[in-house]
Amino acid sequence: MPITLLSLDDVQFKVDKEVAERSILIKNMIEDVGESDAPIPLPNVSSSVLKKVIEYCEHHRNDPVQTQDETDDPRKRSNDIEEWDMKFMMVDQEMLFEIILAANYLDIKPLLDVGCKTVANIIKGKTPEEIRKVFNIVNDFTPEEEAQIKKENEWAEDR
Amino acid sequence: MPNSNNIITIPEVQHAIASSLLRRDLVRCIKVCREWHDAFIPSLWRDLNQSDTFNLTKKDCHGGIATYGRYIRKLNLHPPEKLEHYLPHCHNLFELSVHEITHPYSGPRTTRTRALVVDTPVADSESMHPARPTAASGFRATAMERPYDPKVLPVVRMVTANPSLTSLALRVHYNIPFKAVCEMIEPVALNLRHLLVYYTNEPPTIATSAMICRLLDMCPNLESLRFRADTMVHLKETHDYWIGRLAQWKETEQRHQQHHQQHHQQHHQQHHQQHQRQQGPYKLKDLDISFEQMDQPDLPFMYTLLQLCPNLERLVAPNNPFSTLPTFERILHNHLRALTTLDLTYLGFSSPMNDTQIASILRATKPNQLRQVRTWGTYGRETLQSLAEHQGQSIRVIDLGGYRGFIDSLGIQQVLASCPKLRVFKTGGHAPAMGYLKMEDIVRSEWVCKDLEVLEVPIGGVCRFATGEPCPRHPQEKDPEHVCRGMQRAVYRQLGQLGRLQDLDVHMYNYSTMDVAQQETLEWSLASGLEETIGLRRLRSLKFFGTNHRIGIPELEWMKQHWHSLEDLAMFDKTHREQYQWLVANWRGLLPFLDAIAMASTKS
Repeated sequence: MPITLLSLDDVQFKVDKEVAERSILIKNMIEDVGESDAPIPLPNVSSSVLKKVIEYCEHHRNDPVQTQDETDDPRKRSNDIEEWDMKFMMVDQEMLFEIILAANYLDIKPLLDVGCKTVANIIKGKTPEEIRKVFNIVNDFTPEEEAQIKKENEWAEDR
Repeated sequence: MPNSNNIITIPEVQHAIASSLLRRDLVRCIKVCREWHDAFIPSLWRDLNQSDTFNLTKKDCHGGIATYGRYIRKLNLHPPEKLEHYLPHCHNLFELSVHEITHPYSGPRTTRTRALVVDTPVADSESMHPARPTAASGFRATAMERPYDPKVLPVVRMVTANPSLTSLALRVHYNIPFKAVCEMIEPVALNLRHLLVYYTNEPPTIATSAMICRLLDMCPNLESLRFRADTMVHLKETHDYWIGRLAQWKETEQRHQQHHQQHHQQHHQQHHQQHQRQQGPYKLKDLDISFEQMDQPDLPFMYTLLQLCPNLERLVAPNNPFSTLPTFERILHNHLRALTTLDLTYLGFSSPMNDTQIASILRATKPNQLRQVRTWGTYGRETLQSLAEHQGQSIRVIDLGGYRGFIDSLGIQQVLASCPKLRVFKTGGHAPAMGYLKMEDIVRSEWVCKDLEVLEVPIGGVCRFATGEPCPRHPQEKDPEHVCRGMQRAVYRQLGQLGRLQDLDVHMYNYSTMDVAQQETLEWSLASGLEETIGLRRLRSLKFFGTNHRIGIPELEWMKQHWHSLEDLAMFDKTHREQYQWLVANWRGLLPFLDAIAMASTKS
């Protein structure tokens, strides 16, 4: 039976139950409320983002559910992103952040991980100034604070 | 519109980003702005390992401990001299490792080892090693009653300052008396879940069973105990205590059953709780008390302890002579029903177990009970069969660290074809084993281990047509090349099904038949069907060794195009200069890159 999802801007999306249940939030909602035709409102997600999220869930509908011991395994936490996911994440920065926020709200752990890895890949190898430029951040440290932070964390440089 | 600050303030997001970053990136993140500083600082300081604390001392960053000490959750100090710096600040520590707590020696300075010998309670003045005590109580009497050791004090204070500590690792020089070790542990003994004591050093340490007993009784909530010593002295008192405790536990259980029949339920529970406090089994889930030598080895007193640990999930079986193996098998069968990880490395340490012995132990467990098995011995077909037939549905990790093991081709194939959950399969990478998995056996049946991540099995059996000699495998065949390449293609097809494979080591490490074996390695050429391995998208490391591979530039180009995760490709030799030059020019991500540069620049 298909499930209807209702976005922030009142757009309805019909998806298969197994696709919708990639989101733990929705899965729990369905379990709590029982099967119903009424659309599930998602007041934190806009239609453009929800469309992307559904695209992800459709593609990963048959993935095995991650178990706890797998996510704790550092080998599993490596930075390899599957090819499809990598292409899926080729979006502008605003959409990337929106997807991460939605994945967090909807509780879709694999999507959240892929999103965060994408952010991590952007950060990697960049100097603080380059990071600020990429993410449009203003440096709000005083020179004294900067010096102290540098001194106290010097041990971790180049490691 | 969301910006980066919206997302990094969410703990899950921050954690996921930080865990994908290296230290050097984290330390740049904290310099970006205040918000980022606050978000990433806990990840940067959460887990300080040995080289971190060493660097912290070297770069004189101790000021940071006052600012950030509260974020330290795991701390590994080596050497422990700077404990006082950390002491007042690490309020939230839950794991502490301290190395090399040495006894301060005030006598004449020679070398440190010398100093240790002087301090040894039962030292033999003629040699650098302490004499083996003749009376078991000799060591206990002298060592346990030594005066309090001031060197221990900072550790005790560190531990006391962190009452929430649940995990403690101590590596102590043997001349620190055991009494002092207990003093270090005591402040958190009731909270401790994980305890590691390395009581091993040069000259070799001597531990007693009483020490293990003391630790277990002091820390009643311990789930994992790892205790390492060089020699274990068995004390009859300890054994008697364990036997008594066992008898009492059984008796209590029996009495409960009778009570249960006779009395009211509530009464029963009160009675039960009272008894739980007094005695009963240990809570241990993980026990590792390995040592290389044991005093009075024919007394399987460690096995008595095992009977008191019914919840054991992981066991590193202690070194015991083979005469006691039936006892061990009986205990495995009757008492250790929760066991999932069995490490037999030390059991046959002094003389390696043979194939039948290993197989017999594995068959003593209940079917499909084990998830991980590690052995050290001359394993062979029986071991492999017992794993495939008896543990096939549950086994995830097989590590046959064999010393002269026999890689029985059919046995290996049977494992790969009947263990669907297998993730790691090693057949003795660090010690040469005999035999290899033959191509003709691989094509007999389908592999079911689709989750395999690590495969270390030598694969061979390729015809030697390249040498121009008549093929010994297909003497009748007019075109052996055709038959052999067809078979290789089928092998690559099986390999290509392993979509999760990361490490593949088909290295022929074989003393007696090295030359022959090396000529029989897979070709890895496009002509022999390399493109069938296209499914190995996660492959990070491919190791082979031999003179028969045919990896040329087209093969390297193909690998680069399809194996995006590959980091390590071994091994070429100096005849492959052209391949090295290509790698240097075209595949910079591949390791070991320095080797490649060196090899490419050598004059042929």
